[in-house]
Amino acid sequence: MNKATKDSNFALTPLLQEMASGKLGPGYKKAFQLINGLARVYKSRRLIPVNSVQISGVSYKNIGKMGIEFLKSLASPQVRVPTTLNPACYEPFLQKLHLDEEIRGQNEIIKLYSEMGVQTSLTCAPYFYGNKPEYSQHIAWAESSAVVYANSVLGARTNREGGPSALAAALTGFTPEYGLHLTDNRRPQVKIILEKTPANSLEWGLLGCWTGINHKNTIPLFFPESSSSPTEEDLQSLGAALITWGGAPLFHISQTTPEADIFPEPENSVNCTIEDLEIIQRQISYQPQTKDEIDFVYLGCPHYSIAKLDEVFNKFNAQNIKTGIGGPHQNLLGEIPSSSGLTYFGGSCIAVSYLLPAIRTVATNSVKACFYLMNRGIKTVLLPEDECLNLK
Amino acid sequence: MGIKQQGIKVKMKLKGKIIYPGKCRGKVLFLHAPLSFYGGVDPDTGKIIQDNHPQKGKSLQNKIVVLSNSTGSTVGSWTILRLAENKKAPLAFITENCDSVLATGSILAEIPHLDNIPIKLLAKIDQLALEQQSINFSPVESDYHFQPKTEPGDDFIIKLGGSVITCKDNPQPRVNSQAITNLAKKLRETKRKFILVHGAGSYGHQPVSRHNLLKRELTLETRVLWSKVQTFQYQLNSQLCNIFQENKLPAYPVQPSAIFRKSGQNLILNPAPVEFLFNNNFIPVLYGTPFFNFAGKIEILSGDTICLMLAKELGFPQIIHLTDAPGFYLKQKQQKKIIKEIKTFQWPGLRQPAIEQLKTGNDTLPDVTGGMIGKMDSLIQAAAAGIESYIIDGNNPSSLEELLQGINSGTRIIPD
Repeated sequence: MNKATKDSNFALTPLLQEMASGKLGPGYKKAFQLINGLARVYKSRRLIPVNSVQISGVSYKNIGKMGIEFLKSLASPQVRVPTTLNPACYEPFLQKLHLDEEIRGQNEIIKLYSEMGVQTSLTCAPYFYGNKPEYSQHIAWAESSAVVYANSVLGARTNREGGPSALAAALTGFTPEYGLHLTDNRRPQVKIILEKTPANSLEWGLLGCWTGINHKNTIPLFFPESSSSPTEEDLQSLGAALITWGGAPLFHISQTTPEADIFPEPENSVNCTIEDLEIIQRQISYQPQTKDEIDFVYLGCPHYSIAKLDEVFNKFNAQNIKTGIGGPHQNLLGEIPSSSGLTYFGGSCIAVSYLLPAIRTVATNSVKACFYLMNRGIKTVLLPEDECLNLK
Repeated sequence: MGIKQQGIKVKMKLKGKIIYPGKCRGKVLFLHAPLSFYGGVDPDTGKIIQDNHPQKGKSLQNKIVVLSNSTGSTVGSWTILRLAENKKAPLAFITENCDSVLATGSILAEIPHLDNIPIKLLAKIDQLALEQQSINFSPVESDYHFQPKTEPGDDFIIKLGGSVITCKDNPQPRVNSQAITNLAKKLRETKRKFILVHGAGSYGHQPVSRHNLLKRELTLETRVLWSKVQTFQYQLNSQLCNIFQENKLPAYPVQPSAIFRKSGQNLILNPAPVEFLFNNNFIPVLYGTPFFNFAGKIEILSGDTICLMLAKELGFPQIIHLTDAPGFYLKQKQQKKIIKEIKTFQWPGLRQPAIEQLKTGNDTLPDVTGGMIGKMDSLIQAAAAGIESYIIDGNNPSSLEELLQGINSGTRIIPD
C-alpha cells in the first residue's frame, strides 16, 4: 500500500485513492502528497471540495528554471475546478532589457499552466474577471491580496495558499479542512476604532499597514467613525496592505463586510488616530526634495476593475509623467488607449517584473506596492490617486 | 563543572509526524530562529542570507536542518525546490511546529521531513539518524557551569530595583557592590532559568528629575544631559554584569532601546536577541533606559515595562520584583501592613489609598517612572495576561532565597 494513503487520518474517495497510488500519473500523485501532507501538518479531520482556485508562482522572476522543470514533471494533468492565474513578468521590459531567456521561460510557464486547463487571465483580482466565489464557498486561493478580498469582502473561505498547494487543490479538487475554512477561526480578535474614516484608497491602505505592523496576523474588526461606505478599490487597498505588512488574511468592517456582525465583538479594543496614520505614512513613504524627483507613477495594485480602469484611462493625459497601470491580460479588455506616457501592465504587475534602470523613484497610491518596491531599493512615494494623476 | 560522561552513549529516540518519508544519517544544523526561505536563503549557494538571522552565512547543504518553523512569503516553497535542483538542499528537515510553506517545500523537493519533535532537546546535538517516523541521537551532557533546568513553567523574570543595587543616599551615582554580590550568590543556587532586568536608582532618576529633562525641549544642554543619563546606565549595567560574571553567571548585557520601538501608542518588542541568549543558557540583562518614540520625543522605558513586555512576548509565567520596600503595603497607625496577595479586581480599591499615602508620606527619592504605583499598575496588567508576580524585599537577600524555595514574604499579585 502506498505510504501516503496509509498515513491519512481520513477516508479517501476512490478517485483520491487512485491519485495517491500514482495510477493517474505523477502530477496527481504529487498533488495528493501535498494536500495530504498539509492535512497532517494542520491535523485536519477531512479534505473538503473547493469551488475555485487562484494560482500564484507564475512570474519567471520568482520561480525560475526549477519551477518550469517542476511543472513539466507533472506531465500535464488537468485541473478539476475553475482555476485562474496570477500576473506574470512584464514582457516589453524584458524585451528592452534583452532578457531573452526570461522571455522564453515566462512564456513557457504560462503555456504549461494553460495546458493544465488553467485560465490565463493573469490577474491578481480574479474576482473582477470571471472567478468570483460566493458567500461561504470553500476555495483555495494563493494570491495574498485576493485571499483577503475573497475572505473579507465576498465572505468566501480560503487559507493563504502557496502556489504549489493551490495547484494541488486545483488538480485534486480538494483542500485540507483547517484555518479559515472553519467558522470559529474567522472571529475578529481585535476591535479597532477609527478616529476618522479613511477618505481614499491610500488612506485605507495606510490603515491596513498600521494594523498589520501593530497587530501582526490578528483578525481586526474596524469601526469607522462615519457610515460612508468604502469603494471596491478602498477595500482592495486595505486588505492588500493588511496582509502584506502583517499577515492577517481576513478583516471585518462593522456594518459593511458580510461577516462583521455575526460574531461577538472582541474584548481587546484599540484606537487608531489620524496621527497614527500620518506617522505610518512618514515612516514608509520616501520624501522627495521636489516632485521632479519622481520618474514613474504606478497605479492598479491590486489590479483595478474594468470600470475603474476606464475611469483612470480617461483621467490620464499626454502631459502626465510616465505612468504604469496594472490590470489583467489585454484579451479581457476592449480598446486600451495608446498614449505615449502610458504603460499598461497587461497581465502583469510592477512587483513581479524586472524593471528598467531608469525607474528609480516611483509614486503610487498602493501601500502594498510600496512594500515590494522599497524592498527592492526603489524610492517609493505614497500619494493619493488624484495627485498621482496630476504629476506632470 | 558539569562532567562529560566519556564513552557512555545514551541513546535517545523521539517519534514524530512524517511530512515526507525517508531515512538518513548526518550532521545537524540547529537553527536558533525561524527562517524565511524566500529572500532568506540563497538558492544557488544554500547559505542563509536573512539579515536578522543569528546564523546568517551558515550553509544548509547536506545538513539535517532542525528548526521550529519557517516564516515569510509562500514563494519560499519554490526556494526549497530550487535548493534541491541545485544540489544545495538539506539532507532532511526536523521541525517542531511545521508550517505550510516548509511542508510544501519538502514534499515538492522530496526531502525527508519529520515534524512534531521538541527541538530544544537537539540544540547541542552534532549528529542524528532519521528513521522514517523517529530520530535517534545521543544526548550531550551540558558542560556549562550554569546548568539550568529547562522544564517550562519554571522560567522567571527578575527585576532588581534601582534602589536595591545602588547607594541611594549618595548624591553621586554609586553601585552597591555588596548587595549585588549577595543577590548573585542566591541566584546561582537556583536551577531555574531567568532573565534579569534592573532599574536605574541613583544612576538615572536623579539626573533626569534634577534637570527636569522629560519636560524640556532638546537643546545642546539637554542633549548632553540625556547622553549622560544613558552613559550612567551603561556604567551601572557593566558593573552589575561584572559582579555576576565574577560569580560564574553568564550575565549578558542587552541594550533595551535597540529592541524596543514605539509606533503610535503601541510599544513593540523584537524579542529575538533575548530569546536567542535565553535559549542558549545566557542570562540576558536589560535595564530601564531613555528611548525614542516616533513622534521624535525621548521618554523613559522603565524596567517594569520591560519585564511586562518580555513576560508577555516570551510567555514567562512569573515576574519577581526586588524593591527597597518589603512588599506593597498600606500604613495603618504608623505601622506598615504588607498585603500578602492582591488579585486584579482588588487593585482599583487599593490604588487611591496608596496615592493618598504617597502624598502625605515623605518619599525622599525621585522616581521618574511612577514608583510603587506605576509598578503595581504594570503587574496588574501582567496578572490580567495570566502572569503572576511578587514584590519582595531586595535589601534582605534571604527573602529571595525563601521565595525561590516557595515561601513568600512579600506581596503576590495574581489573576482573578
